[in-house]
Amino acid sequence: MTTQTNTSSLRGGQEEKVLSLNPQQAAKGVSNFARSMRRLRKHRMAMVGALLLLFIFLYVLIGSLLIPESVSIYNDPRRALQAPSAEHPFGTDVIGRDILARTIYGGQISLFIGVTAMLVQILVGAAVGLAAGYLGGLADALLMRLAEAMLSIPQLFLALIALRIFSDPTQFPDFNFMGRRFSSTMIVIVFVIGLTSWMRVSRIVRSVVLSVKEQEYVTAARSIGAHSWRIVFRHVLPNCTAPIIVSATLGVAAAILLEAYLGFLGLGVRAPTPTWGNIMGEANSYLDSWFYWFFPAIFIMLTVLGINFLGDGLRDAFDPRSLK
Amino acid sequence: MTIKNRVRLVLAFALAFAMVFAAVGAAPTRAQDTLTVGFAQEPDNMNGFYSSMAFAQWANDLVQASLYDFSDELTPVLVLAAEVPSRENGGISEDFTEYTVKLKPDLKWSDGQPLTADDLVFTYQMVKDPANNMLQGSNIRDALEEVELIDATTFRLKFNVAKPFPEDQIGSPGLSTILPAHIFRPIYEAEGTIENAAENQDPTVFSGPYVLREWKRGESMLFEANPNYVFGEPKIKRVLLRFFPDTDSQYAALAAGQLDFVPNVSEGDIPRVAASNPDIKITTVFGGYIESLWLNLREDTHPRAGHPALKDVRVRRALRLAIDRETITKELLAGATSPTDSIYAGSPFENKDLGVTPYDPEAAKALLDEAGWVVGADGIREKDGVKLEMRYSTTTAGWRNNIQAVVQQQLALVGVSVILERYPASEFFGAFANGGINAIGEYDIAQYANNTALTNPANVTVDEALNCKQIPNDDNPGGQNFTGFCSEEMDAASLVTKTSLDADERLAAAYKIQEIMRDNAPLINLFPRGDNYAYNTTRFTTEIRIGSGVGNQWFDIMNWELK
Amino acid sequence: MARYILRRVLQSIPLLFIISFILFNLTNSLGDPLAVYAESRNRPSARDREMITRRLGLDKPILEQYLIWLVGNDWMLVDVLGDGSRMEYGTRRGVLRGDLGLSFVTRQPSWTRIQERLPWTLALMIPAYVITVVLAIAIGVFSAVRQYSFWDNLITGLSFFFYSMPIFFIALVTIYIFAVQFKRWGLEPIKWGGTGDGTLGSQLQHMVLPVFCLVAIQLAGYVRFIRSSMLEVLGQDYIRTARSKGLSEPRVVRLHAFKNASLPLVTLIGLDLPFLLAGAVVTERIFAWPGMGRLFIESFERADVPVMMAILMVLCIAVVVFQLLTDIVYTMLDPRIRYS
Repeated sequence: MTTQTNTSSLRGGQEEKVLSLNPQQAAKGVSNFARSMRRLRKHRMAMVGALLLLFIFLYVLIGSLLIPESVSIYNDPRRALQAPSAEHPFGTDVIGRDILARTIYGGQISLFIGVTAMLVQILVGAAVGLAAGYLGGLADALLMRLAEAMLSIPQLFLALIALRIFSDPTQFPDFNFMGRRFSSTMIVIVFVIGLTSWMRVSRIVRSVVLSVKEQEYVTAARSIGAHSWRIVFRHVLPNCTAPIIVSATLGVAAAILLEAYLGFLGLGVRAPTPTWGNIMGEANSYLDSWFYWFFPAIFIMLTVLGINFLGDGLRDAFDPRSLK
Repeated sequence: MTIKNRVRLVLAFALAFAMVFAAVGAAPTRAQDTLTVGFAQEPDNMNGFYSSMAFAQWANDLVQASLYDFSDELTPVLVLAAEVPSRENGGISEDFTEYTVKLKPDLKWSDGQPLTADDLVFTYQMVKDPANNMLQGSNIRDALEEVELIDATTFRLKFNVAKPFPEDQIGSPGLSTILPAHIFRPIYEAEGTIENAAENQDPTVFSGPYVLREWKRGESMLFEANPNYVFGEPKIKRVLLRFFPDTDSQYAALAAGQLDFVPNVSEGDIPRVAASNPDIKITTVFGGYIESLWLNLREDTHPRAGHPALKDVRVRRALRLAIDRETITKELLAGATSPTDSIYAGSPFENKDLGVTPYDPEAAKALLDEAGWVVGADGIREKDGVKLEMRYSTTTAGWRNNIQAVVQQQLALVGVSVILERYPASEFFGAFANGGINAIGEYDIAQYANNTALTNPANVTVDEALNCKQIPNDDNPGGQNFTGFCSEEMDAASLVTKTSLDADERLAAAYKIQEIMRDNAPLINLFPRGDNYAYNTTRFTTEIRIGSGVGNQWFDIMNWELK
Repeated sequence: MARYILRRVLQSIPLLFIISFILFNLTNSLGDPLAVYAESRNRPSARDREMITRRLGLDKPILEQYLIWLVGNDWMLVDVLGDGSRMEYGTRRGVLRGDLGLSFVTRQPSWTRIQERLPWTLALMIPAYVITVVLAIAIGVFSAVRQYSFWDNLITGLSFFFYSMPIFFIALVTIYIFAVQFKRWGLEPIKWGGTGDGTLGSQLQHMVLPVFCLVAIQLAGYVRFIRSSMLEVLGQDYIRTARSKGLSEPRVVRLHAFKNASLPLVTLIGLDLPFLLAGAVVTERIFAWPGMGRLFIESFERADVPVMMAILMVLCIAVVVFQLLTDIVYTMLDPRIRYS
């Protein structure tokens, strides 16, 4: 099946990432991983999710090859809020821009934010978890207190405040990239989302570190003078990969949703950069022009649905116990 | 106890709680004699001196009587005052420094206590005392020397300078709130300030057509007719203000007949509001704002200097020619307003012969060429290696960002590139000392509204925001002229409009100002913003009269009648 | 147990101080609270603006402001006019003495503003939460005991669907169908926007759509959680023992499986409950519901620091308290755990 090859290329990407995290992984780990991947391939929902994601990915990628960016910017107030037609399949927005083109270019940004915010979240979470678990004592107490503190405030509130403070164009001006102009807020939001959602990952990593520390082979490795971060790479990270991959996948969905909520409140990424979220923010006061809000919202939903399907499949694949 | 029972118990508790909370805030039901009004924001204070919010002003005006109001045609309407003082009737001294004001006899507060000149004297004393920390009344506070009680219906104000416009000191544009002395005086004597008086938030005594019966925070305010109102008890017995967080649910309620009256319909929403229900009528009155593009003409680097091209008046005029203001007002704002070049647009002081700069991109191109800004390889004009690329900043309000996008595209057609920037209002309008974007000049073009004059030609925009002496710097951090525009001639004319005791001289000066502004283009007026009101015609017996933005929108509410 | 509680409370005190200090710095960087007046019709003069800034204490260094926020300023002289000519004792008692400060916007006590909104938030959130948990238990258990049946698959599929739905989508779609289109089709539209005209019936009607949306969104996660913890328990040896003893299946499920599977649910509920206080920002926005989420956004947009700080601190304290309560309830339910 053609879809099979496509999805396996997606998986290939993830495999590479895991390997790069873990260059010295033992042969045993790799075969474990390969077995998990086989299980994943048989997971029907995961494959549906991967297909959905592939569709979204092709939509924003091929779409941008077919429709130039200028179409998504070109406005004409004389054709504002037109219902879908052959010329504008998704209709036009309040200043007459083509909504189809805007969901394509907005989708690129939403996906970019989802993936990069996830990377920030994983890197920070892993670093904090490693440090806390490995150093122990005061450092552990402080870092875990910090995580606890941040968990006791709704993430949306925290993100709102941080985003406003750091999205000052006088400090971070908008920038040009590949002939397109981007709002600096799309970079700021990546860090804001990443830095307000690392806590769970750090807890996972820390608990793995603690349990690994107790294992005999680590004590043995240490007794023969193995370097500490060598132990980290050899023993801790391989044991973390499965939970990290799962929470990374779901982290992308959470980041896309958070971006959408911030955008919906009109406090997310600022113009001129469209995202599915901030299109929703403009559109929600035009309830009657259903096409204005329906299309960006359905893309958000399909993306998150695809990621959740895939994440569930990954969890089952890495943890066969739950499959039985 | 088994788990199941425990779960049941917990659930039972939770449900009971839910019921109790659900029952919170039961109020009288809406009846046929209730006018239901939709507000897009909740008033922040019910003491008019402590708010600068339009919605708070509107709510206040329902319960507050002023000495005199202005009608929809900008003519004075006597409310508590027996006459509008003037030099002719002896109420104002020859040099305009002393006002003697007479009240109508037998006025009463809503609680039956007499409303006398003593209440007015107390009010002016409160305005004067800085310990009260009021947001309003600065024009009175800065000039008031003394307030004197003559008798129960007469008081006298003495100013340290000539005050040619009584409405700014005693009419509703300047003084829309009169404090009940019998309530506030004991608080003031006990605490030294009335700033934190509970009465500000939950007032109990009123002078206006209505009394506030109940304020459900975040939800609604219920008013009932005041039988002691000077014009008698209004015909509509109850007014319910309902607060909506977004305009869409507000318009939906209006279309569904759940709301009778909605103030502050934004221009861009007029077509869909009007189309949502054939019974809805939209009335536009003078608003007192002009949406403008302010150009940064500053040269010094602190605050930030503007784009060098803007110093050339030809470039400024070219920008005005290159913006299709007609399309913006027609298509984005549903034709509710039209472009103007006059800072006095819509007022009796507008010079109608001034004309409006047409949309003419070819003329704009020619002017830019003439100024030496020629089209470069990338389609953007440049001169001496400097590109004609400017930062165009405004607030994050959606309708403004839409205008930004449209203007950007129009300017690109004549080879001018603009970079759009949006800031939250709390950053954009921040004070100079706090690094406010507008105040420190972090823009080349800034879009926001200026205030225009309606009842007299003293124009705060000209007098403050374009005045040579008001350019802020480290020595003058309170300066209000953020554009850096300076014209001694205009400052002189502005002084005349403010201080001359001769009406003809003032009008001539106002005309002069309009000419200077048209020729020098320190800012580009986009369009005057009116106050748009939508109401359901099936609910009212006749067409209703609504006051202008400077006076009191409810000036005629005692004559409104519901079917 | 008492010692354990005391230790936990003592541990949380420095945590609250750290949180409050960080948040105070963050919220104070949001911009100028007086900027909203710039475009108003009767804007205050520059001098008045300066005076108000001083009066609100915004001209002071941030550390000093934080100290005043904590311990108040009624013990120190405040320079009212800024020129030393009029010195008065401050009026604030500080958070540590129960004074959350006055709102910059309404000049009311912040606590009063919270009290105005909290009942509305709870009126929406508690019914939604109760319905969610009850339905989730029913559906989750149902689904788990029929693992891989048609119904289980359907429920799993649907829960994924709703779990992935942004709440504004379901809200806009339901409003569009039940309010806008119903009217077009000549049906009685469901009322929405605000809390109704004050009668209980009208309020219940206005609650229908927001509660439906909240339940639809939250339900999926709980169903999946309960299903998986049920499955885990059903696979345990003691369930097999119980079955082999000849207990009927419903009894096995109710008495043994659900009892044990509900333990993690208690933790989840305990962790979620304090966040009900925060309201649902997006839902309250769409349905014009006057709750805490909207109060936070309104305060945020006007940089009303005292109110934002009050909301955040109430939340943090609620989280600490509920975590403690959860631990205590947990020991009561699970005799294996003893704290000392």
